[in-house]
Amino acid sequence: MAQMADIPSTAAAGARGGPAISVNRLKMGYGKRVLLDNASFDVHRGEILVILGGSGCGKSSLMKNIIGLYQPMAGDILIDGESIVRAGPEKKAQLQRRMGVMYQSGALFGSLNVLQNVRFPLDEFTDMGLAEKNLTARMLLQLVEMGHAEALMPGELSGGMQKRAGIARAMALGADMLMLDEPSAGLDPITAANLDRTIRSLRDNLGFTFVVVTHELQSIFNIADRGVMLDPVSHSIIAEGKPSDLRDHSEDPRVRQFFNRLPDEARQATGS
Amino acid sequence: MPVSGSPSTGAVTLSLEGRITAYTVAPIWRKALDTLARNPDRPILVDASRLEYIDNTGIALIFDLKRRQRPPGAEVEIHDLAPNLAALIPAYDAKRYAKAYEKPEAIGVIEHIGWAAGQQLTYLGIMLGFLRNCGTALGRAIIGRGEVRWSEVLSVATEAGANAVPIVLLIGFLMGVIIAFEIGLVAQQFGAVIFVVNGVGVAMLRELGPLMTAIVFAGRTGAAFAAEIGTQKVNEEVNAILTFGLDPVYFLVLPRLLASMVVVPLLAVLADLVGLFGGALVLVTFDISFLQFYNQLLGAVGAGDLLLGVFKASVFGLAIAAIGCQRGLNTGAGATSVGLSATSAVVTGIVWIVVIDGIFTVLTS
Ligand SMILES: Nc1ncnc2c1ncn2[C@@H]1O[C@H](COP(=O)(O)OP(=O)(O)OP(=O)(O)O)[C@@H](O)[C@H]1O
Ligand SMILES: [Mg+2]
Repeated sequence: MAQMADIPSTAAAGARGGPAISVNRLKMGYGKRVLLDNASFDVHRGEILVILGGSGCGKSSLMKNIIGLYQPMAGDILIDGESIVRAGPEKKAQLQRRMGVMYQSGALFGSLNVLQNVRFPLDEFTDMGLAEKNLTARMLLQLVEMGHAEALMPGELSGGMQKRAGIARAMALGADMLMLDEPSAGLDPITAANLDRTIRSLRDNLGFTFVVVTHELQSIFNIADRGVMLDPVSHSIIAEGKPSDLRDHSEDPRVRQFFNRLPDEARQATGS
Repeated sequence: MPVSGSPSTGAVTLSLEGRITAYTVAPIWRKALDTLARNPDRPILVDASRLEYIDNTGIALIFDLKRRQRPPGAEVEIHDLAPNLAALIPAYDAKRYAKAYEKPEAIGVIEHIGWAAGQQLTYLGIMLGFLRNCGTALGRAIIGRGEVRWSEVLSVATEAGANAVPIVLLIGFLMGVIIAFEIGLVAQQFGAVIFVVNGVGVAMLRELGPLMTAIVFAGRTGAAFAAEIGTQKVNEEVNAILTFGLDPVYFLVLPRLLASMVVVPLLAVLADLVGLFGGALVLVTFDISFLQFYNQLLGAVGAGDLLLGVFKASVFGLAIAAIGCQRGLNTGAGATSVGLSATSAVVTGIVWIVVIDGIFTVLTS
């Protein structure tokens, strides 16, 4: 049941000018609990932006706000210049289809095998023939080194394999904005490095825009053009910039502590 | 996508233009394959000079054209592919995509029946082992050597028992009404309407009260047990319990068994009462007063009938809970298998209710 969505097919880098994603004075949280207040930042086209911060500070929640799963408490989020916060259901779905998302848990469909999971968006939204869809899906699986596992069910995959299949599925519809929630967590160093290379190659060659939540310092320095760091205490963005600059030149001891991977005593010792 | 043939070289030119994305690739791809198929022995030149943008599906298309095995002199050549796009293609190795998607082997009906029967036999062994474990845990609880998590028992009893009262009342009442009416119509022809009371009394207390309650319980609670424990299994909570050195049977199963053994008989008594009431209501229309009904009933059924029904209900409760929990613990991986466990808990539960009921009937007649 292919429905040819009348989506302005994914914009190539710079097609429309302006940032790919723009977060303006965002306030978000759950119920009465505020996680982030008055946060603003842009994701430029063809940029790899990483969202940083300690566990539980709201990185996944921020991502879910950006992709329109949750309604922010205040502020606005623009996707390619259009507000996803104020969009009606149809417009919202259209904007959402422009973003490929990999959830922290992989979120594969349990009743479909790996190949079918990756093919799913193609089945739903395109008129392509089965052989073509299978080929595309297999090539995506090869990108994430999951070619050998295409016939397995999600329940039969390891955590890292589920993530990689989730990444392949996120890319299937050719969305040029990809949101990846901790893609390399749980991967061995070689697979993680290959994944970093794939992300860079897609960005360099196709101009994709990436928003990546990650803690892996190695990966941050490898792929990120810019980082945005959230702080759970002040509910704000405490740092924004090139990761190596943040590591070497940040005034903020919390930022230096993060990038130099120091325990709490060390921060107190270096003074703040 | 323009296609042009050049008579001089015999080559066919396919030109890829503009933007190729998942939403637009399908017709282009079909056209391209069609062109290849119609010109099996002419070289194909793919002109990519006017390509503005492609996504992963477009890359797959170009790769697909390139990997085709064609006779010498009739190869596919891609021209003027932008370097950034060309850089993406060599990452793929055509040999790895040679095989088509393999469907799982289909097996015949007979084989399938044999396979299913084999499954059932192995399952019988598993179930017996499980029941022995439950029996040990239950025995320890009864003689007071094992600690029972009573708060858990209470919360299961509330959910499985108290919350099931309305549906049990409704079904019990309707059963009473229906059998009174059915037997009443027959008895009327023989002028023996008063004996309908005997029929309703015996049927409700010995059979229908416990049986209908058990079926409701299997559908409501047996399925819930399987789904709850199954989800815990899928989320590795069961593994966490095991690695703490705890026994999931004691931890998850025992409270459910105890609660079910108590709750189902109570529900069955309720069903008995409203069933008798429903029967009495119907018999009023056959000119039998409540008082007549009451007196006749006392002569027709005794405490033995009630106790038999109650005991039976308790066994039903035990069986349903054990099956639900066993199915839950046996859940495979993924959301689908939780659904399968819940379904099979209900089906197996109902089968066992009927089998146990049959055994009781043979033993007590
Ligand atoms: N659905 C929810 N309802 C209520 N609170 C939630 C919900 N999801 C997350 N939270 C809370 O919001 C906070 C941020 O959660 P979030 O998942 O965004 O953290 P995170 O930064 O992604 O952490 P991690 O690095 O561990 O994945 C947490 O403290 C969590 O308790
Ligand atoms: Mg998270």
